[in-house]
Amino acid sequence: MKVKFSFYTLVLILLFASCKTVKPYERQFVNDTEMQMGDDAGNRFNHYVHSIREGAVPANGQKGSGGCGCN
Amino acid sequence: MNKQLIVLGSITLCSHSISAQETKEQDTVDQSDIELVYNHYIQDGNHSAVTGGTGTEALTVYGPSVNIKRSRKNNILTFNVGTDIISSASTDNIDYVKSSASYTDIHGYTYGVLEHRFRNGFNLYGGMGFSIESDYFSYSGRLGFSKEDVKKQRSYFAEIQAFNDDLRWGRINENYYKAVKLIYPEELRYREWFDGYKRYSYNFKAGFTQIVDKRNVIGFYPELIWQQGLLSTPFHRVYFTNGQLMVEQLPEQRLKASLGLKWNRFAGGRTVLKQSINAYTDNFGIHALALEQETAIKLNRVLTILPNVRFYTQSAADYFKPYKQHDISEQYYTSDYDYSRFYSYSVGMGFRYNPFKTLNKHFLFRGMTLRYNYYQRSDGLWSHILSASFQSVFTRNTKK
Repeated sequence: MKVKFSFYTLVLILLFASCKTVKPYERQFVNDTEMQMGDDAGNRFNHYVHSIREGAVPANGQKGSGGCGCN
Repeated sequence: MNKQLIVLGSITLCSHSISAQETKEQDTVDQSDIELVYNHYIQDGNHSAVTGGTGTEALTVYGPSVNIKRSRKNNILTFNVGTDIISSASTDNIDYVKSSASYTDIHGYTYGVLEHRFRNGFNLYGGMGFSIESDYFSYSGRLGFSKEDVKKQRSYFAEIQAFNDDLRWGRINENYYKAVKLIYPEELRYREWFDGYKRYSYNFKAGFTQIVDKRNVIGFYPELIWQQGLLSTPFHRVYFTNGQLMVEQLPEQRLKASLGLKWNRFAGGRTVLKQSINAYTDNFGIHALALEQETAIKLNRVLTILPNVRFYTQSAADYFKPYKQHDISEQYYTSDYDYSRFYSYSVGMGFRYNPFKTLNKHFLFRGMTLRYNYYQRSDGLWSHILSASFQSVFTRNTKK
């Protein structure tokens, strides 16, 4: 367990250590609308359906309760 | 003479510039982003929990909604209101009295969130919401913050949500219009199966995004959910091996944990690859994994296509068994196939049209997005998921 935890921590540290500072004038790709992490309305509805029809609620999902109209 | 002219000209220019700045500071731009959404959902299968894990799961949902985001200075007010009109053949089987087509219900919901932006990239937000259905009333609150670092390389957020649900039936029934009682299957109404009718849920979620380089962004999203109260659905039947019939019984506490990882990569000049992995576990015994991939292909300046695919697998809950497989000695039991062991896949296509067309100086048509997905579960349940959304922006200059 400790070995696993240390391994994943090391991977994360290496991952973030490899991140480069991207200057404002180099951001034409990362600032693109499609590169944003948020979901559009259609995506949100798909995830909502998944959270109802599947046992698991997706991480960063809309909600874990509150009524669904889903029987 | 020339010197005098230069000094006079400079003073005039400075005073004009200062006056223009003052005028500018007094102008405030009010912006309202309005999004109209229509969702359509069609489903069928043969494992309805209402009839004990066997029988039709036919369901159609018509779901219009409106999202409004109003920005002024450092404050943003987000407001959402929507309804789902539900036609469900399985819910019709609660009392086996067939209506003209199938049982129809309405699910209405609304929420509002107020966000304040501070100068150092720190945002604080809070909000509340309501949701109502014939067998459900829920109100909720949320509080959270988000923060972006000075170099805008990384951002993070944390949020807590609380839901208070009442599962009594009757609020939208024309004979009552108030919460009356829990609704059980017709032949099981000879006794009360549950002491309480409330469900409390607390979600804690967080997120962290990091720009890796000029073309890559990653995000981590852990989430914890604690639920307490009536977690069973009162009108779900369970048939036992000895032929007895009872109402579904599930534990009154549930802890869920999930972790999501997203990776967006801008590949080439027109293609964005979006990958995500979600892992999930809970104390009902469900362990799940979802893999999702979407590719955004920019055909031209305004049109993008979005082919996508998703694969999901889960283990069964400890309390699930199919129709007539439960033993009467068991403490908890359900034949709801949402808790069964299965895998599912979803394939779909989206179209995004963003002309950013200015219709007049106050109104901008930002664009529209259409999505269709086909969903198939290994137990035979299938669904068609359609969504259309239209985004526009209104701006207005107001003097202070």
